Amino acid sequence: MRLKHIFPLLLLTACTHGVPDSVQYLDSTPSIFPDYTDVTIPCNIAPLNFLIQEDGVRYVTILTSGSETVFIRGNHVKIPARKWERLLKNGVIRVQVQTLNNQKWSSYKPFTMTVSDDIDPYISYRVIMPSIESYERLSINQRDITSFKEKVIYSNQMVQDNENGQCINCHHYRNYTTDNMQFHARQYLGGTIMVIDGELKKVNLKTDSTISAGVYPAWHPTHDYIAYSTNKTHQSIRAINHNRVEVTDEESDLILYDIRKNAVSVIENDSSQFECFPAWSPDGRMLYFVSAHYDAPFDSRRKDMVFINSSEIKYDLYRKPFDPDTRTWGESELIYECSKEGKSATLPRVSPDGRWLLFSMAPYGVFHIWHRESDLWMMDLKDSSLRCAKELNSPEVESYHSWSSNGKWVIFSTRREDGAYTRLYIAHAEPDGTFSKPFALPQSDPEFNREFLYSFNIPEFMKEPVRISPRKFASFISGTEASRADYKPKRCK
Amino acid sequence: MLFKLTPFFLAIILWCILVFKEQFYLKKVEDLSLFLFDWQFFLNSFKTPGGFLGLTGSFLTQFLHLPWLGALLWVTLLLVAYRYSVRALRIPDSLSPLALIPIALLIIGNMSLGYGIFIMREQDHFFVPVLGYMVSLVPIALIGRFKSVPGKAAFLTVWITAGYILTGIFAPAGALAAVLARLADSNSTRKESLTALVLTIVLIIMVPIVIYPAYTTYRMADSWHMGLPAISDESWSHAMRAPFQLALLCQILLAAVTPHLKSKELTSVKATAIQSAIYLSVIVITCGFWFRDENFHTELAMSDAVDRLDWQSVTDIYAQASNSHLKSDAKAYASRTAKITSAGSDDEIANIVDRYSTRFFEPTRTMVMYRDLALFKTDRALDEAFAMKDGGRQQKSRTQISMAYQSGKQLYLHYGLVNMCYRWCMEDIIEHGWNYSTLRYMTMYAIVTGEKTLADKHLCKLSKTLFYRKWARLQKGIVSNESQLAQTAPYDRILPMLCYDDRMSNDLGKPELHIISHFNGRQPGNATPDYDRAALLFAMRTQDIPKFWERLYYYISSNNVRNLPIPVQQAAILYSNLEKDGMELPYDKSVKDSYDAFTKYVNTHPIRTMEESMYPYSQKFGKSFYYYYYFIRNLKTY
Repeated sequence: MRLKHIFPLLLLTACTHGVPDSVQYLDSTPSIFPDYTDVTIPCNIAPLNFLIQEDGVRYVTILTSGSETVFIRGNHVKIPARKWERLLKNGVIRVQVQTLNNQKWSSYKPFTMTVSDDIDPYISYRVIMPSIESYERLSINQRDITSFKEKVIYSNQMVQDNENGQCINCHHYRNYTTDNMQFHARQYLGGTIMVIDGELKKVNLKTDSTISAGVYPAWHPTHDYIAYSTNKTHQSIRAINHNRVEVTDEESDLILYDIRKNAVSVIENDSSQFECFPAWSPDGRMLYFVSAHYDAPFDSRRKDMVFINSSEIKYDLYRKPFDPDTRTWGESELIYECSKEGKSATLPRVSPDGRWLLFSMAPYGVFHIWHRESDLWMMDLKDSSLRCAKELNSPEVESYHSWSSNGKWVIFSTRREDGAYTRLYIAHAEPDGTFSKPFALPQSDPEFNREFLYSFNIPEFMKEPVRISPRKFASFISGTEASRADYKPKRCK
Repeated sequence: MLFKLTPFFLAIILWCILVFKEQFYLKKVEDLSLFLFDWQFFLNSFKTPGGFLGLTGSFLTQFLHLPWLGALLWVTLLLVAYRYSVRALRIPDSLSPLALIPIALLIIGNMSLGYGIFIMREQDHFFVPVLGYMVSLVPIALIGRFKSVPGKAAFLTVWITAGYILTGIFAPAGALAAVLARLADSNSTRKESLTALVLTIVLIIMVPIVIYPAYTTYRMADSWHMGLPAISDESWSHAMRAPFQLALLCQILLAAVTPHLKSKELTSVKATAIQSAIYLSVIVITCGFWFRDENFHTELAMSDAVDRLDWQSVTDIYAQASNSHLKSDAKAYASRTAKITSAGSDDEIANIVDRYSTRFFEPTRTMVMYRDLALFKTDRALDEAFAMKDGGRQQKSRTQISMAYQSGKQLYLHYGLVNMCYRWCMEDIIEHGWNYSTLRYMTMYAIVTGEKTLADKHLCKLSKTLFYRKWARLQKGIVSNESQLAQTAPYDRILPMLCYDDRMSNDLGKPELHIISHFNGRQPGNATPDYDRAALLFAMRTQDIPKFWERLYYYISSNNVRNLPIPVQQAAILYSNLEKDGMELPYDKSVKDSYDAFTKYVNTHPIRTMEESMYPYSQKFGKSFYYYYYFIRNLKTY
């Protein structure tokens, strides 16, 4: 195998540097950025371009898969799309990096990229500076992950003026398709922007009986409902902690929005509980959510008290049965009382086969993107067994995550690269509930993640691109008053 | 001949003023801008129409780092724009100074910004207008070369479309001037010119609309402002754009009028009179709109010295500003006191105070905070902070710019409130984009907090700049050699400040109040001498007597103090007398004497109103803590 690759190496280098005296074979794989060594990758992913971080004056990378071999010169390994497609067809890509340093060639231990199941071709995310309060330059973008094409879905800069800012967040799709989707526009010309069967709609989900408009959404997989949390959220800065920001709810509940009736009903509104982050089971008969117990009087000190006590507020995992046909709810069931173990769970997301529950967990709180200790955990819903998804985690934050529509992949946000800028990583979900080594969302420029001074958050898979143009969203948001949702009392069994 | 050279003389004068009087303004404009030799930066510039001009503007702005060079480039461009307008607009020699009017407007546009520079949305604003103005002259010079109607139409279509994409509104404005010039020119046929005019107007309206879907970074309504400055205050934005819009309008008017002027012969006397009048008006108007505010310029100079960690210069600049007004202040105070003494009612006194408020030197809170920081860093704060003039003059600005945007990151970093430094770096870039200053402070923040990869990320950006790559190299050395950190400025004096316990905080955009409340908070278990010194300083600033005693105790314990600084002794003797049961300390004789003198003076000169007594008391006790305690009160921070 080695000899097979020395010949092309000689060919590549002989013309300028003569035949190398010898090649030193190293036992280690090369240091590359992003780290794509020994990863499992989708069969339809864009080229995994990388940067070789080893000293050298010349570099040769040889990618082999079946009978296909690709040679790339230089330390910026940018693989041509067509050649990459051919490499992907043969199962395992073997990558060998060779460097010339001090007139001596070194050949690093080859690493592999194992080609596996396909992945949804699109993702969407919010592009944001790792900000605290301001939100001048926000956009929700969609990326074709089979290539490097990225487009803006909507940007707040298309609507806000110099004095009236608009925040946008919580983009969400029904069953990974984009003719039913939503995101929130806050403050200026605000409302929840929905696409219902391709038609645009702007709704004000705040009613006199609920504490806020809808916040974190979960679109029902079979019926025209969206579960939301309602939150009174505040931010504060930690004076010196490595977790710079704290985001805490002063109150939070769960509501159900009936799209057809434009009506909101309460799911959970226990005043001593902070319920948040709803997520449906794939059959739509169970709503998973997190909830923290917090008893404090509703007075002027409440807001300050939640910050003072923030490290004591710990969220447990719950689920609640739901009959979508009759819109009736069963009793909530505590499925993991992590608060007893001094931990706090958020963002439960059920795998499309209904077997696994992936969530993030940190010592306290609900907004784990600001908690470095936050890791991803898996629960087997068959027997409620738990395991820390160590293979996904890093010493830095792992937070928002989402399953691909076939349940074979997860994408999650992490600050593992520098502790401040959120980046997106993808991992293959194995049938036994483990994951392959995660890899960074490929970028055309291997150094992109190092250079880019924005964060990506809320990664969501999509089977298709959003087809409504940014301009159409902007003119709709500018020109449409939000229709106020009605309030309907909830039904219980 | 002399008049022909006048624009050159004016340019030299302008350059001198910029270099010698506005160097810190120019440096701040540069500090708040960014140009990176980086492909991603290049591509990002094209996210709005006018991106090419913005990129060129950012490239040139970096040379303001060396004010003489940046000013030279700007003045040269203005001169070229002037000469080029005379040629392109075919202004007769006798009336050539007319072309100075739009140039003067371009100067006014840049030099009247004042505090607006801290809240500009895009940071390429300094060079863009003059470059845009030059671009707008191009079609005036070129249109005559297209003889046929289709040729002209094709030229106008390409020019307006490509020009708008690359230079914003400047290229279309130039096209309008060009067709108006043709219309006014008797040599061209009226029908053809009218057709070109109609086409130009249609294109100016339609091109921004048609290409709008290709962009997602601005509102449709802003399409016709592309390339012009904007800030987060709508009415101020309009005012800021006005000089540049007027410059373009002037150009359009000149284009329409000059063909008629050509035929008119002026006598030399008349020409001289007209030229003199134009030059004079241009000079007077430019001077009139030039933003002149001593506090603003002092703040900029102090800020620059803080960035250079030249603490001695910070205090020197403050002292110089303060001392340069001693005579005029004395006059103003005396005159005001006399008027107040003879005033009958409180309303009358308030009126007098108001009228005199701008007639004597009073620092802004930013100046005071910079000064205290510098005194603290040179271990002189407790000795000298209360001996220097204090105050809380409002900014001379349409909108009060928060200290957080102006100096927040500097103050927070150097006092060790690191997460607040991070916060204001972030808020700043979200509102106003990345700049050299924020990149530097984000780097220093990451170095202090030990986040090496984050520091490297920002250093990598700075290493792609022309003037900060050396700084980036230096910092990279520090990042890779941790042992150096505690011995290297500014970290050697920041690290000891990080001894406090974590807590939730929100500064509500008011750094001064936040810093005071930080140091007046719970005493850290392992407070360092530096921390205790700062805590005592800010306890004295609050005029809170119990807090003073508490902090004094910690200060004495951790700093092993034998001789208390005089202002601290003054505070102690004053407070112990006010409280009766305060702490008795071994006061210096001079302190006892000064306190006796103060009490005697109070008995013989009772304080009727603060305003009335301020001057006589400041003359006698202005450098004492007693004066600070009684007369420096209710200052507004921002």
